[in-house]
Amino acid sequence: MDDWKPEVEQLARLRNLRKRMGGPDGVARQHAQGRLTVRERIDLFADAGSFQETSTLAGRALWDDDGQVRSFRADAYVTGQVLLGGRPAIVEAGDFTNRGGSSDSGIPYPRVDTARLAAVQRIPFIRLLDGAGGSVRNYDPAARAAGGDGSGPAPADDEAPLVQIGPTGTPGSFDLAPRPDFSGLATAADDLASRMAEGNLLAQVPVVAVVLGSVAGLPAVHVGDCHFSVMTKTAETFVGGPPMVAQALGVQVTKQQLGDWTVQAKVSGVVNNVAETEADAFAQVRRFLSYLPPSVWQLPPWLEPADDPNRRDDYLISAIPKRRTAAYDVRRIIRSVVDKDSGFEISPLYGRSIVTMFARLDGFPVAVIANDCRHDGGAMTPAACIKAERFIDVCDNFHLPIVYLGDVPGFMIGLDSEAGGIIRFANRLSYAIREARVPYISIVIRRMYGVASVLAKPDGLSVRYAWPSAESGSLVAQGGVMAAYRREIEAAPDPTAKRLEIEDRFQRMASVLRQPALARPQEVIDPRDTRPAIVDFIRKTHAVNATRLGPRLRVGMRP
Amino acid sequence: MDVRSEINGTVWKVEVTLGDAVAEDDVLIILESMKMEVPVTAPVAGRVRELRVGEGDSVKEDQVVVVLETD
Repeated sequence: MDDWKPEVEQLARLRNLRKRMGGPDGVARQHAQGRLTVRERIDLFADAGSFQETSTLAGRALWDDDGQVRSFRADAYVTGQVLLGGRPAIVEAGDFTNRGGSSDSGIPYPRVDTARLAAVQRIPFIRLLDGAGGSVRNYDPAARAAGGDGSGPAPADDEAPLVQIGPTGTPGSFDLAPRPDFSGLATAADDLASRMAEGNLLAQVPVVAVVLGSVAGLPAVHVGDCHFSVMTKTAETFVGGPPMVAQALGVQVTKQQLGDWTVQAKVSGVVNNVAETEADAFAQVRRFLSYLPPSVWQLPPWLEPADDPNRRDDYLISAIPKRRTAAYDVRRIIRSVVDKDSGFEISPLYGRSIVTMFARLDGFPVAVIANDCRHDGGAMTPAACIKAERFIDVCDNFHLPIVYLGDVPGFMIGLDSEAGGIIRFANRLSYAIREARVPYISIVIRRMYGVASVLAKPDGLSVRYAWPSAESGSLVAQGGVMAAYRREIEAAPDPTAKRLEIEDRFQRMASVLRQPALARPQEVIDPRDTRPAIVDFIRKTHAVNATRLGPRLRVGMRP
Repeated sequence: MDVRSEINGTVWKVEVTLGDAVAEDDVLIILESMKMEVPVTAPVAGRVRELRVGEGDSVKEDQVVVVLETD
């Protein structure tokens, strides 16, 4: 028979071999760890039946003399397109059952193509990470030929035992693929910013990292090379694992001590959110993407709101205690202002004196930033600055209006804060706020002191309102009085009484009702009018926001 | 049910005594941290079964401060 059926059958066989992943033993080990396999994960993550796999033949086959496949080593990555709530996205998923998901044991080009697919189709790119970085095993000629782990078949005679060190992927590594040459061409369709964004995935589409196992080396770099990351409580991520740490530093540590959620989501802040289960992690990714456009060339998706835009919650009139030192729950205030059940908090365990959250207002996706006075008195610590800077950049990238609820005594003072570089991170945050071009509405609900009051963005497409509880100044009276009036206070017959008297005088002056110009609010509003006021602002600025699509053109540098 | 402190701080006031019935959101303890008084409230209605801290004690984030008996 003169046809290509045998070849097509051969292809089908290869595809089936690829679906076996690292083989039954590897799959059993993965399940024993309480973890899903890469293909089970994609099924759980994507809309049912929506996965369209790409590079279905990626792997390394050995052939016998009759042209039959002797063995096949599947690529350690599974890639393709999925639908998430009906919206397309590209997925790249590491297969830990396959030689530990070792990154350079795979063939780099299918993955490079995958990232390019997200860029050219202008849809989100999601990495499901479970794997180590480079393995020296891959530099071992015998191991390479045999299938990496030494358990595969012997190498074919015609395979030269060459040591080949593959290209190292780096952030933005879809640059590895050839890029179009625009030299001398007038690119009518693409403006300057679009051309500058070439090769920079973060400037174009939402990029997400999901940490589901032990993730080290290059995949660990990918944990930070994204707009949003989430990890399970049984996962870890680090640049180099315990054996490397022991060898280089002589320190014995566990994987958990090096990089579980208590390190990466609470202390370092590298990972935004923590998930109880893999299913929870996938739900969080879908939720995160629901607020964002598919790319920077579109607006965030508006949904028919189920909540009354003019709803006035009576709770707000008593939300701020009259006693200045009494704390309150700012998340409850946020909940009462935004559309019902629309909030999704980002980095809740890191930089906790500031709250960063996505939500909806009258159906429009918005970002909410609010100080939390229960942590560090609401002062901006280095971690809070880093968290807010990154969050504002993500919002600016994807055209999300920002709603700021302000109660900030200033940037954090003290030993830890100075050693943590507060001066630099305060500056970087200030730049991020001033560079932001999205609609930005500030409601000063209590304290607004010092340079940190830049959080209530003073320029651009912004307004500032204040509640009657607002107070402001260049610094909080309690600290400033002692610094400025030391001689007078020490000379008084009762220094403490004198200090309290002066402090009280300044405190009364700090009220927004006495000194509205200090906080520069356009209006002092009834707290119950907050939701209608923000909705009004979002609606009024929507048309301008819609004219600013495309990649964000950045000039210069952050300090 | 264990009621935990969300922050590091010092116990400034204990607002309940053993056996008290409390409603959801009632203040159980007030902590002091960075000159702010931070209330620890009842996550659900119940009765105070254990008071694990007293005024002046330091507490760490995630430490159990009160145990409530719930239905």
